[in-house]
Amino acid sequence: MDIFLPVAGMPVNVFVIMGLGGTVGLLSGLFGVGGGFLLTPLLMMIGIPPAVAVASDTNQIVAASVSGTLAHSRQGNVDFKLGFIILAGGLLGGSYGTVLVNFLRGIGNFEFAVRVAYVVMLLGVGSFMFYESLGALRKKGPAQGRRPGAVGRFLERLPMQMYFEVARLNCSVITLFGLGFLIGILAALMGVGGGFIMLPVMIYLIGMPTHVAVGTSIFTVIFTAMNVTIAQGIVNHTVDVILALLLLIGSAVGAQVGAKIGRRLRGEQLRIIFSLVVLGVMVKILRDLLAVPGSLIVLGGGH
Amino acid sequence: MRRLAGLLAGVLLWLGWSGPALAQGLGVDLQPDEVRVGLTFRGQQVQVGGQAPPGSDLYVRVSSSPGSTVNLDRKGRIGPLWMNVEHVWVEGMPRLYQVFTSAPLARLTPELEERLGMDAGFRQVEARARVWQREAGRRVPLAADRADEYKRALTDIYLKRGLYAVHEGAVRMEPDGRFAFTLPVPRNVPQSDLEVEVYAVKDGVLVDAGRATLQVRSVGVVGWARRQAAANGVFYGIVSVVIALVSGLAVAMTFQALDRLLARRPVEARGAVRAGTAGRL
Repeated sequence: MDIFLPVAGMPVNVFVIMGLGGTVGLLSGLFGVGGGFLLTPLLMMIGIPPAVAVASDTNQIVAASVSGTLAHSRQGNVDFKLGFIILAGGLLGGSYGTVLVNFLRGIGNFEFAVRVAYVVMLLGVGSFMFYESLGALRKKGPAQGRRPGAVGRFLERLPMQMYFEVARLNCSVITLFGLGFLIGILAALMGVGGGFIMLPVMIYLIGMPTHVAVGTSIFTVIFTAMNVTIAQGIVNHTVDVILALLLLIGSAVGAQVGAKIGRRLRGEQLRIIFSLVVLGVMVKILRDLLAVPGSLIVLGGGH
Repeated sequence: MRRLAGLLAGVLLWLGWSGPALAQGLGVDLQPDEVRVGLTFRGQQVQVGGQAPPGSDLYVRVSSSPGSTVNLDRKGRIGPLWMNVEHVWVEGMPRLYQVFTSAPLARLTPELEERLGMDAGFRQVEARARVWQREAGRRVPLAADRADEYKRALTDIYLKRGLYAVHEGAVRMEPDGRFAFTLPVPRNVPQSDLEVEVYAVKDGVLVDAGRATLQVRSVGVVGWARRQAAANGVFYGIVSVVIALVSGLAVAMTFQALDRLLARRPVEARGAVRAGTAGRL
């Protein structure tokens, strides 16, 4: 069954798009990430213009993350209070990051530096999580990532400490806001939603249980995705509401399924699968950087 | 009546004879003359026909408005890595450009190629386009040889998508000058009117020309979404987000209801079994 996409200006198969949405939604539900890293290139492969792919993908993430958040909150995995504080920092960091991007673009070779930094970061985070969760699996103990000694003691001495009931931890509002701010800057620099950075930060730096980190991360994704969708609508006019609708039917269902699967996994199992996804993405980006492109001149992303 | 027929025949004969000198514009008929792009659009066949001076060769150009600007990225090598190294804008290339002829394009003289804006290799379309770059916030035109490379690449992209095409010999020409061909409007047609321009060439000279406009209109949801996305960014962005929020909520609630249904059934079943055993005891 084919349906014509108004903004992309081409017909697509309904089931292919819904299937793509479902796959990405599954990842959202499992790991609390948006999944744009996977979906945007897939959409471009079936001929959707890059700018439309990026914007419509962000739009469907709104649905997937709402669906995922509700599924996780029923399991008691969303710390709304903690999420809001990180989010506030993230939004401020995001706006600051956009300014930074414009400044860095002026210097030149910006994309090069960002891509390399991204690969290095994914490699670092991915392998650290892999070894850490592998160790935890072997020990079979609840070796949750605790704050390292010196940093931990410093963080505990910061003012404005607050208790978070769902995450069951004490943390300074300043720490959370600051981490959110950093995630926001990174997300703006890398051009990604930030879910990939959010989860490791929540688990290892804040010390949240993995399941609560996933649930809280997907909660914050709702707002970043909403923010970006509206911005795309205003600046680039490239949101395809029909494409997004097809995607989100798939992804909202996928997010539910993902949350259900996630509940049956232990924290360290979840972390090890996530680390493999992160390493997989890293390999993919690295491959794109190293492989000789099919054509040297391609349609641009639209600015 | 016979006199009228004679007069008509005379007029036709006169038109036929003096056609080449007149070049008043030949009639072009489109069937249908409008393409409606809705949710179920999958491309459409349009019949193009008309009357041209007998014995002439027909060259037809179908193109969309060249008004749109397209941006292109060039990938280059930095050290061992490939990435975008240049970003340019191409202006004045129509997004759809197709040529239909009754005779080989090679018969056109270079002057005619330029005048009709058509040739076998799309050089004429490319010649009318401009490529520029942004340097320190200002638009800077690219040098001709570098610009040509981008134009060529864009032509190739459009060729691959079936938007650019040359159909030599596709136009059927009757001895009396009636012509006809099928214009297959592709599924990814740009949403702007298509100009159909017909040129009649005899002995290397342009003897007549005519044109018609094929309206491409978005209808229904497609039309609404396109108009809102283009003109009402804020409203459209918010509507998109609201649709996503409501759908996400709806799916989550459906799953919750399903869970409850599924959770209730085993309890009832268990209850029934217990009741049964109690009865037996």
